[in-house]
Amino acid sequence: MALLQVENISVTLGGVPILHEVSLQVEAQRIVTILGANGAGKTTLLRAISGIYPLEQGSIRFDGAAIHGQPAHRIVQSGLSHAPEGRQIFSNMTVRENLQLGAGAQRDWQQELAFVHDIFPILQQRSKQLAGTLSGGEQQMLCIGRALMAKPRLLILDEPSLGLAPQFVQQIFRVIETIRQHGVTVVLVEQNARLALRIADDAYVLEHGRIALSGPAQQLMHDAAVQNAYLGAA
Amino acid sequence: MLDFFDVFLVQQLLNGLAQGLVYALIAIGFTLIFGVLNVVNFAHGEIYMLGAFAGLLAIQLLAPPAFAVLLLVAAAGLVLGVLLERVAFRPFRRFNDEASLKSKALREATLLSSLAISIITRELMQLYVGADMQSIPQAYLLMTPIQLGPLSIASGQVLIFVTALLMFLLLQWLLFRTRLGLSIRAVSNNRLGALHVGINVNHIIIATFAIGSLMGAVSGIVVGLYSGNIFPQMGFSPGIKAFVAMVMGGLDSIPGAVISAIVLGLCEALSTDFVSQGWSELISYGLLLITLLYFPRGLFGKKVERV
Ligand SMILES: Nc1ncnc2c1ncn2[C@@H]1O[C@H](COP(=O)(O)OP(=O)(O)OP(=O)(O)O)[C@@H](O)[C@H]1O
Ligand SMILES: [Mg+2]
Repeated sequence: MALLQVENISVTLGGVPILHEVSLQVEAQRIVTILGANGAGKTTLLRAISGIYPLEQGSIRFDGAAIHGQPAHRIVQSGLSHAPEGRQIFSNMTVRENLQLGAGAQRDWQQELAFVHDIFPILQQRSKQLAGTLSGGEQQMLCIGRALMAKPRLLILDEPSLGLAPQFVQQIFRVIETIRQHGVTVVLVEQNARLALRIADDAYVLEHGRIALSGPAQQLMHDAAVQNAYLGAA
Repeated sequence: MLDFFDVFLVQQLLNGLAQGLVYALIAIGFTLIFGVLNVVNFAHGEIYMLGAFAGLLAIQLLAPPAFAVLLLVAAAGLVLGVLLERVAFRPFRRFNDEASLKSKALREATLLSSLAISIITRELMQLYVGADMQSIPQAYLLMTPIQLGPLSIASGQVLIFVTALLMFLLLQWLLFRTRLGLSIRAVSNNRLGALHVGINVNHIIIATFAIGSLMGAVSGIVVGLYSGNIFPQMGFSPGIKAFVAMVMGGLDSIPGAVISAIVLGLCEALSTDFVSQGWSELISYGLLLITLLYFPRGLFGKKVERV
């Protein structure tokens, strides 16, 4: 059975229906990407999975257990971490405190810290610095590092390369590969559809709050509609 | 030796310091709660008043030792804080989307609900016990003068000083040395971020109200026993001064609020020398105006911008 099973979920925000009967499956140890134009509802979908937005209908199962209706902190504890859009780091707190907060209630988080420092050495150098003083790329690393501190089985990444210089984008994508090699399943929303499809195993296309297309990433990469809409091909 | 004028001035400064510390006591809890919600808790002055009444009730019913009075009031403050959060604040926290978290309308609604609770509480107390000052058993009053050379301070002033210092230090310890403090700071800094890292945001907000209200209630009884004035309106004026101190301190800085509160108390005490009594009330409003006009981020505000 798939690690994450989203079935027919609908979400309404501020009285506006945003998602309409969205279903999606994420197999363990895979990278799954969700493509979609601005405002398609990608962030809303990810936040619904994380328990931050309530469902109007439908169900979400993580590792076989129903997680919809559970408070967000429970879902993090069950092994599903989220590096959110806009990073949402704790800018007035130190880098180290941000990472400690990512570890949640775990008493011993030295191993996770070592892992995060290993993949993002810059975070170790900036340990005592306030997170708000980091550069955009460093903040994004902190955001991903913070999510990894919870020792997730599934990691949600919402636009991790937004606004980053090319060398940072490369680094983030290498890290996503590394994370997967450590057995973590990844759900990736990304503006850069070409890179996302290249790294992903499976892909979904969200349009106006509905799943318009889905399939193996390789296949979608060669789909004419996808090429037109998201890969800028003529 | 100090000549007469100097003694008088130093005595005035001492009284001002004590008054400033009274404001500081209230401002500490006020600022703590503001930090975590970004909403002014107008009912904080009423928690202070209810704390004084809870202490008085304990004295009248049980006549316990003074220290036990403080403990009972602390417990009452804790309970009142949890209740206040449940009634006035929780109902406005149903949504987690960015639009709601940043919504001015929702923030104003929350602020008004705390104002309503504050007015209702005050009026109900007035109906129930009357507007007059309550008589406090002599044995519990903290007005014993302590002579320091030519200067004289009341035992209550010493207690206020000790309480303010203890509260400030305990709170700094809590915020910067404990797991709960780490979470409180995280929720204050970025509520959405806190949700994403799996903090139980509701629990943290309740805990913050409990701690802030505990401090407010204890301040109420300490000041009540020192001044001998326990009455339903007692939280109003110091509540406003504490609010001014919080704004002057930069809204989310507890040390800033404490320093501003002391400055306010000193200014008020000194102003009675130069202008008539009635004017000293205007001092805090004047300082508030100056802060808002010329130091919109507070006298000490220089924090990192939220990203
Ligand atoms: N609180 C809200 N109330 C009403 N509508 C909302 C609210 N939050 C988001 N929306 C709307 O929901 C739609 C989907 O938003 P969402 O942030 O999920 O899109 P997205 O696919 O992540 O877009 P982007 O690529 O720009 O990040 C948008 O049209 C947005 O305007
Ligand atoms: Mg988005």
